[in-house]
Amino acid sequence: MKGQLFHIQRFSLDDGDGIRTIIFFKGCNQRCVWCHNPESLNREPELSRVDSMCTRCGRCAQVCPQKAVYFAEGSFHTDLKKCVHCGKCLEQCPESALKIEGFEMEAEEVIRRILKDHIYYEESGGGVTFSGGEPTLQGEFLLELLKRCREEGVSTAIETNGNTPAELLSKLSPLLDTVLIDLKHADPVKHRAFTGADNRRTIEAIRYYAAHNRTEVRIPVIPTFNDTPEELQELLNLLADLGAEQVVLLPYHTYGVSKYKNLDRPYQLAAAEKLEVSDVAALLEKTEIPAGLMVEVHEK
Amino acid sequence: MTRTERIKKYILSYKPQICLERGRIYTEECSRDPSVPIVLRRANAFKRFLEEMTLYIGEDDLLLGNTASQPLAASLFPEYAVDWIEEELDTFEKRESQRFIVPEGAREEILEMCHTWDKHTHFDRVDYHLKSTIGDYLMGPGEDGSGHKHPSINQTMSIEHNQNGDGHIIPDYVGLLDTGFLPVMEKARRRLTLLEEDDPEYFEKKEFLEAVIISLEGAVAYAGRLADLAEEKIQNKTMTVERKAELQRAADALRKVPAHAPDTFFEALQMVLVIHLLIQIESNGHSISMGRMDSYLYPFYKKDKEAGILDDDETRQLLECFLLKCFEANKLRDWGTTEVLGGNQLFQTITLGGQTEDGKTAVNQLSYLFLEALGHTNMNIPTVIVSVGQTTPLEFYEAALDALLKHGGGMPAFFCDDVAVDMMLRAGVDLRDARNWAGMGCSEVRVPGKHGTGVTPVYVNVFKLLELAIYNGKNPNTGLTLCPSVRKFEDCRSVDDIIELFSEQLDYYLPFIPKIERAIAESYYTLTPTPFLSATVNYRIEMAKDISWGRGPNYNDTIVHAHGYPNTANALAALDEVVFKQKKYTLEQVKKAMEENFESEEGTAVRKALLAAPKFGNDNDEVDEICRKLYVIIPEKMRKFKPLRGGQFGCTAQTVVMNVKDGEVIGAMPDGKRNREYLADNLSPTPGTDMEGVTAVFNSLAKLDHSLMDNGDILNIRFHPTALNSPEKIKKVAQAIRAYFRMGGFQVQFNVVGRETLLAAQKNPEDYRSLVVKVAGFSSFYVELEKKWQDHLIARTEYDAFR
Repeated sequence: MKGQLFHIQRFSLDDGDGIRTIIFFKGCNQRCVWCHNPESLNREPELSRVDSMCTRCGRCAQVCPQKAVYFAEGSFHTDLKKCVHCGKCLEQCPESALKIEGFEMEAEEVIRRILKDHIYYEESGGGVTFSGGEPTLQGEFLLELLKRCREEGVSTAIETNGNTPAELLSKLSPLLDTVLIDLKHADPVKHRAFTGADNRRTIEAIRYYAAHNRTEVRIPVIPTFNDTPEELQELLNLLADLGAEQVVLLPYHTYGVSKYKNLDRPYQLAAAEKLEVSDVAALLEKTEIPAGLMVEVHEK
Repeated sequence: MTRTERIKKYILSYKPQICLERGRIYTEECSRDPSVPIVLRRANAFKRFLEEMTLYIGEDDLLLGNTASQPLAASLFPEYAVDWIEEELDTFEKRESQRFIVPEGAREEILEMCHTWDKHTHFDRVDYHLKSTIGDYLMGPGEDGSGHKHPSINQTMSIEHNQNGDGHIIPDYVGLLDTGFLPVMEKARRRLTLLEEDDPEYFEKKEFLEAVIISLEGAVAYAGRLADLAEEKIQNKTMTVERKAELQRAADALRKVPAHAPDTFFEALQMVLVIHLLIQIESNGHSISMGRMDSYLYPFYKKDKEAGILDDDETRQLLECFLLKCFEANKLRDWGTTEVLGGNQLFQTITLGGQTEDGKTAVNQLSYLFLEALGHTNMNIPTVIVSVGQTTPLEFYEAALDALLKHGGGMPAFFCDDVAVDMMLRAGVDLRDARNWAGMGCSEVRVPGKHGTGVTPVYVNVFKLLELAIYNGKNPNTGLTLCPSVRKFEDCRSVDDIIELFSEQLDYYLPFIPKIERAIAESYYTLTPTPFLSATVNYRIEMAKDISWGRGPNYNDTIVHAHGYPNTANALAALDEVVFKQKKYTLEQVKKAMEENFESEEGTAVRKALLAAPKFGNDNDEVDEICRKLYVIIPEKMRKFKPLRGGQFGCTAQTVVMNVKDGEVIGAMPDGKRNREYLADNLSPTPGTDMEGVTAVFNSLAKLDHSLMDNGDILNIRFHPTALNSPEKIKKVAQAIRAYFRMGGFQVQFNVVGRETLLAAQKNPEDYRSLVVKVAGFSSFYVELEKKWQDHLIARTEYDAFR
């Protein structure tokens, strides 16, 4: 069985227990306007170009048989509908500034990559984290990987937006040691406005995971979206009702902005300023943390 | 300001300059009466220098001792070589880095000194031997000044160490702290009375033993003079009572040590310092190392603490003073060696942690205090390493990483205790001695007090030898073919075929090594014996033979540097991928592209294909396997040869900063390297090619059998500070190191600096005067490195915690 990924990151020290390998699935069913991994959104592979390395020599445009790559007004553009990922432009680029984001990989090959760092998981209590994109969008592939990890004795975690059908949740849950799940807003309308989907399935997913798995809920704190004490308070109250215990607030950052340029896409939150841990901690102080919730602020 | 900060400021307020005292006294004593055997002339010079040299005490110094007339001043050692001094004298003050001031009026005296020593030095002697044996093969630097400044054999190996002392030793501090010098002198006297007059070596032995006694008398006199100076200072009426007490304590200690055994921690530390400094006065060989200080000082620390006369703050402060005293000692080298060694480093190495002779962890409270002291001093000299392995608690790894973060300059480096023991066993060392190993210099593994070392005769440029194999034995730079290949490169059908061609070149060139070693070893023994040093290690008094003679019951090891493995493996893997597997280009096409330095249209395409092939450091089994195979070849081949000093030729894959010079003499290569580009340092992946993260680098490295090279190897990894910004992350990195070592990794050292910092430092060096970075087996001030090396550090992949 094959899945669509865009990156495998080894030696991750940030996402969960111990030393971890992160498997990034390609394709997402939400479009959060602040997303720092824009290359994760489309399931299809797509052309990306490191803007700072590009000399605008135009060789890529010359060789593109689909005319999917072109220059207009001195800047580089790609037409994703036309691009067939043939890679001819990559071969020609003298600066190696171009790459194709996304690749298909056999489940067994993913497992082989995961097992390469088995000794580090063993030493540190780490394991694998399936992230994205939204990993549950490739449900069968994900289940296959999780089963194989169980067989190999690799501890598993998932990073999900929770926008997952209920029947898949119940299959995933017994194969997961840790669930890291996002909730962005308590109001379904505002949630849809900023992420392209409402929060109903996510709410149910949190309720389910919180009852069955070790679960950490993450709230990305985003300026103009959910950074008022009232909105945060609503979120915390909701999470307490759902039975969540661990909550982590992630301050908005702008590390992903250059990726939009590389993908020739507009960044919709361009005006927002990066938040500091201290900003979010101050915001948190203006709320009342409901009983049973543990809330922390982390840099991500 | 703390005392440590004040001492640092005081030392750095001195500009390095040349001190003439040693050179003057050695010249007078050694040239006065040629009828006196050399070893006695040298011992007399040593003693007289110690009786007359300028001594000083810094205002905040707690431990006393110095090697030249002021902090950071460097003595002259004309007995080793004077040609370079004469040639470079007027450039010392103008160097772009490692500048030395020539004091006013000294120029004439230095030239006169050079004149006196002309044709009498170690360098001249080695030169004579080399010319009379392999003279036809020796080659100078290229006409454009590129490549090695020192002679080489068709650029495949260069001869670097014939201008300085041999150094490279760890004294037996355990034994010396137990007895002091008086019993050692007594042993030498007794040995003298037992000499048989009909022994064919009677005179030689007698002279050596007499020289030992004279040298040790000099050491005792030196300590006495330091005590006198301290007491003289105390007479100053304006001095505070506290300061007077500090100086009195030092004076009292120096009346006792090194003649007698120390009783307290302070006395023990003062004694180690005196011995360590005096060895560096007798000879300017580098890599004089201190061994396992936390182990052998621990009994003194424990006793003093139990007696209530020492606390941890005081202990830490004394260790900081010790580290700074080592920093004060300086060395002037010729520019060629300065380039190769990356500066004026003396490679004084302290080893912490490790295991006991019984195989239990040797980590103790003093180990932790030492790490804290290192974090507080954060200077690039001396070198501190930790020996960690199966027996070591994880907390010690974490404490070492903590010190690394505070130090910020790459120290301590991590060495795998278990692999080091394997290295020693392979070299024939007894198990209990093997467990007692300590680091020496950059990455060499030695048994303190028992190991004698022959200094590196050559640096073998492994990647250059592959280039020769590709050009059928011809060096494209020089046009010279010394060993024509039996079969043509173009006819090879597999990587193994190419490795065979490479081995053929090795079989031709490696036999030069023992020839060069003999020339160097003979000269050290004949012209520059070191009786003081000999008295600080085991067996030499019993043998009545100088340590430079080698042999005897000591373990002996002569270092052979052979480096360039990551590039060589990458080149072979690229040929395998592009030519043999994908059949995208033929060997002819690749070679043609190389000859054109990849500049043509096709050459650009060929280079791109070669660059896309797997690279060492990504946990790719194919390329790692090629590197594993290559790694075995030279240590196995060197077993055939025996050094003049006895023992074995031990290999090392570390480069110092030779990878820059080595790259200059190699043209375009199949790993994608362009003409003259530098090579990857040590066993680190080629900069920018390790795309899979730290664990992948570790896994690639762990596939090599590191125990084959008992002079070690080095892996440099640069961490952005964000990768270590919490105790949890520090713990994870500690666990990663432990896993790496469990798999058979040998060494890793980290630079915790950001790319932005390095770029900013290039722009405003003044603001970054104290920025310390780890460049090879040692740390250096970043702004003092040459620009190309600064660039190299910037290019090295940075493991950022963000994505």
